[in-house]
Amino acid sequence: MDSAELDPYDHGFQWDPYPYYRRLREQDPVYFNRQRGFWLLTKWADVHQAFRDFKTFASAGAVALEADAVDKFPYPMFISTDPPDHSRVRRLFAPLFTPEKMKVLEDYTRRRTREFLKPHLSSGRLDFVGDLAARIPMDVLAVLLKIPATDQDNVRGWADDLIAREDKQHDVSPRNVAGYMGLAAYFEQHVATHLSMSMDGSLLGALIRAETEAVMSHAEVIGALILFAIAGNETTTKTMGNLALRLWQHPEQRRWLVDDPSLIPQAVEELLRFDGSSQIIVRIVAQDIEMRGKQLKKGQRVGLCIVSAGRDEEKFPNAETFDIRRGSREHMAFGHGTHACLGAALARLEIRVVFEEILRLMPDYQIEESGLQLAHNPNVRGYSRLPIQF
Amino acid sequence: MKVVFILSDGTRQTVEVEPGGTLMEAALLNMVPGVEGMCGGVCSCATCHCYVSAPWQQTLEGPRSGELEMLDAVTYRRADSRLGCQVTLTSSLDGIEVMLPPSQG
Ligand code: HEM
Ligand code: FES
Repeated sequence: MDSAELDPYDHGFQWDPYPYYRRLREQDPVYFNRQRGFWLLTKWADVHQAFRDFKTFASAGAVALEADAVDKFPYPMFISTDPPDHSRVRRLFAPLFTPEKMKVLEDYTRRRTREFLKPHLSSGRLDFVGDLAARIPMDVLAVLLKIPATDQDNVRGWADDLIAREDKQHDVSPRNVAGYMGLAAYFEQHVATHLSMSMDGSLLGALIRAETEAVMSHAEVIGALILFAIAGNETTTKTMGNLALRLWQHPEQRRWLVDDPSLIPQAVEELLRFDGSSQIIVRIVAQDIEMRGKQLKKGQRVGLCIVSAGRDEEKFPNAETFDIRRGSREHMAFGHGTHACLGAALARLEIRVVFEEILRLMPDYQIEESGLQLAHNPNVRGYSRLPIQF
Repeated sequence: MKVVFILSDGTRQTVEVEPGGTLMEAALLNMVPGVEGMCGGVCSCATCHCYVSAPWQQTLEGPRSGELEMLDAVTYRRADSRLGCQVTLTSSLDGIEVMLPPSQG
């Protein structure tokens, strides 16, 4: 494939990248983009190999496809570290993010969902993303991090700024840096005011204990807070939007869920496979390796295209068909292995609860297609506006 | 400390790790075939399923309800089944032997 054809930062490409990914899987599965100088892996088996072989496909320094993005961000985030540093931090948090631990947030999530929906019920229309999907993840995360309601809009605004991309923007923009600095300053203050808090087993408590017990440095703690603010918001919001769209496009399947809400978790898995929000995960080649006859050289960037992996026919029969009965959890929408999404159980819970409520209150909602707006980030794909009528 | 993984075909793979991590992590850090650890230890995938023989089990804390729920869904469930990500390696477990099922999931 001609390298000029694929620019993941092109807004036009982002509307429907799946035909491009399919052509890459069929014609050039280990694809080198000469213009921008990165590899893209599009087959399930190759992406899986790269996730497993962390010594060859390293996370350190691999925040984004663009080179040097890391230098502009002084607080280290554990998502871009490798073992043993990564393991040291990951061990602190993994036990806090199990489905069992997340369960206590279910009633809260449901209550907030109902509260966000209530003012719109009489008008019969709402912006599914702006009025609900963009609010729930921040609201729930705020419980874990003890962010007061009055600060939530600010935190979400900075997180949005940090990851926003203009059309074909390849470098980190002043807006991105401002978002980062906004979050950093906020969390510096936040940690300072909670330093003496009683240790209550919360995520914020675990972070502060890690600092006071010198398991993590202060900069690592701030970096982790910034990471939670960006990793837990946009991805979940966009996944909810994508599910709202796909269910509307498949009214028969939506009907099955209305009739039997216990199928919703399966629908969530199928959406993650078919149209997950996180498109590409980045790694850096740490030692030369050959894949499908191509030579990947040390220091080069590699995009692990996890949504393309989810549509690989060799892994999933009829991969390009959305079918909630499939319910396979072998997609890598949450990554795989050492760095797999910490918030997966939380995201699954939030999405399930939101759709339990939506399908109960507005089972036949219609999307106003002309009002759809796509958010722009090559790593997270989904809508920033999704108006519905019900 | 040492951890010995015994693959379903009988192959033994001994790995060297620092105490403080989990069995799943020990396998992933050494790319032991047969342990996927898909969810990275948040007790959500059961692809770190393994068997810990009775003498070693006695020195461990038993599984919690979330682990038991996940184990209910695995294909090759046995009395000594554990999720590797829920077993923390302390130095007293040095030399622990862990068997792996024929396949994960
Ligand atoms: C549907 C929603 C979500 C999707 C699609 C998603 C996707 C991902 C993916 C693909 C990774 C792997 C990155 C890598 O391998 O480099 C990841 C990591 C991560 N996610 Fe999520 N995520 C979601 C929701 C959340 C939520 C709700 C939280 C937090 C509460 C969260 C926190 C994290 C963190 C902290 C990491 C880094 C883990 C590590 O490096 O060890 N995510 N996520
Ligand atoms: S690694 Fe997923 S349950 Fe253990």
